[in-house]
Amino acid sequence: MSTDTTRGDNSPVRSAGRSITGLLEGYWLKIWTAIFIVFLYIPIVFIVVFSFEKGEFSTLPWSGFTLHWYRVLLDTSVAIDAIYNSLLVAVVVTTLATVMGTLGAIALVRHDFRLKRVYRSLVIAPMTIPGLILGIALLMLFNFFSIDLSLYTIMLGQLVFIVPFVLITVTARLRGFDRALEEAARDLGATRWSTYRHVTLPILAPGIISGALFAFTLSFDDFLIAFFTGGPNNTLPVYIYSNVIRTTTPVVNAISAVALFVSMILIILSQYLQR
Amino acid sequence: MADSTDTTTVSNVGRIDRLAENKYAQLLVTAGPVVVFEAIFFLGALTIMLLIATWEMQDFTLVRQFNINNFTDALTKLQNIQAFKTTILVASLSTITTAIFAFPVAYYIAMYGGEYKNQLVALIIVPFWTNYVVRIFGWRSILSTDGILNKLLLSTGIVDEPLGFLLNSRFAIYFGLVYLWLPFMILPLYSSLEGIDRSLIEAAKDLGASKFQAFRYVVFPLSIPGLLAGTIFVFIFSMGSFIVPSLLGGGTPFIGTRIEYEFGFGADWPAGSALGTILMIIVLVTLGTLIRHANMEDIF
Repeated sequence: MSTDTTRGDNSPVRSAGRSITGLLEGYWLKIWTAIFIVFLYIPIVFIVVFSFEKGEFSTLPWSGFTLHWYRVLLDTSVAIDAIYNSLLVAVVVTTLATVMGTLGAIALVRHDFRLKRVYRSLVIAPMTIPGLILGIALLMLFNFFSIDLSLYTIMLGQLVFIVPFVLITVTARLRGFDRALEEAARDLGATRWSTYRHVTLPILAPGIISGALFAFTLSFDDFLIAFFTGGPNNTLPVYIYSNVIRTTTPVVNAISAVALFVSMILIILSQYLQR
Repeated sequence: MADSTDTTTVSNVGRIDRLAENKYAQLLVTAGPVVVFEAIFFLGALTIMLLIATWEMQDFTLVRQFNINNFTDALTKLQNIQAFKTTILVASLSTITTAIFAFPVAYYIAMYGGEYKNQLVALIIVPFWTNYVVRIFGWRSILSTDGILNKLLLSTGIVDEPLGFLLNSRFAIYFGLVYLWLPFMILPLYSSLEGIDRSLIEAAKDLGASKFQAFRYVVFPLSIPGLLAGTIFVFIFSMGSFIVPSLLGGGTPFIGTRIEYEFGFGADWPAGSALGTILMIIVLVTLGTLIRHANMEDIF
């Protein structure tokens, strides 16, 4: 009883004090969060804005708007080849990674087996290894077996870390899957295949598609694997890098803006589908 | 006619169905491709890197002669010692800095995000998965001596001459790494903080804990799995970074650029493989000590 009264006495003051500090806290945290979110976008906005600037050097003062650098880009066949290579690699990698990753996720969620922990580690490890180590290790592997470096070796190399990403994305989706739906279909006389076709796949589809988009982005943006296992073949990030370390012309801004555009569209789509 | 085709399809389906019920067949089809692929191209590649680290390079060709000189060189050569020192220092500082910067952001979104939580998280995820070579190239232009930042500082009179340390320095690498891996710290922290049962915080306050005490003894301990996951990722990927030291470091000794040099102009693959193996060991030790208490899966 006595505790109740003390509480009653204090509570208006205390809760008023609390809500003021709470408001202040929320206010400062809000500003802090806003600053860091803006910070993340600074170089992205910079590249896009200065890809439209007339001047040779990407700095102030602003010397006027132009589409000139994009026109130059269209006439630079090496750059167009690099974009084409990146798209080709990404399409193949996405297809294979989606199939392998989805199957692998089913094993992880649906089955219990000895060595499951080993399986899990084998699947997570390639994502936690820095791309630099993976890149040189793959280069040594291909060299050891005298495999010529080409777009195919890039594809094989990227699959090593992209398959696990798809696998984990689909796993998350599978965990939320109500198996009673499949059992109901089987009870109603559906074969295993038609249960798969008409119940399992449609429910998993958004997860698989978002995993596939994720795979495409990872492949399209990959630098390290392509850099070490591509030999003379340039993908877009490798082309950008090798241009940046030699010279800085605004054409690099234009091609970078194209790369940003592609990967942002894909990642936004994938985020949208995951909801 | 129609009947007979029907029965064959049915019996085929039946056979496939029976096979599909077999547990080992299921495992072989689902886990099989991933396991075989990763065994060859992941474990196999790492093993061969380790093997080649024990060979040597003579006149630009690999010679299969077992020795451990590459490892002793990797740890005793002056440029390697410098590179390891700088890399470990910068990677540690970046990890601590991202943790400090990321915590309030994750806390705000988890506790005050309300109905905008998902949108705020998406705002952080989108730049994170956007081409990082391009984003670091953007900073290279912004931070250079005649870049936009120095021009702004000069024109507002904050500085009298351009700041040189902003690019081609250890600071620049540190800055780039903090920028690049900030979301890697925010996202797992957010997922840990988001999962905290609010009634625990209320209970602590009802029992007389101050706001700070509630944070110190309830919220913070419960955020540690996320903090550790972020720490693991930021530290490992900072240790293994190449693009940031290469584009922003301007020749500052760093492990990533040292390794690339050995595979490029240096043309000493065994030396590069030895450095790669040591880096790999550092990664494994970090993982081994921290992973048990970390929440790794929620990140993706």
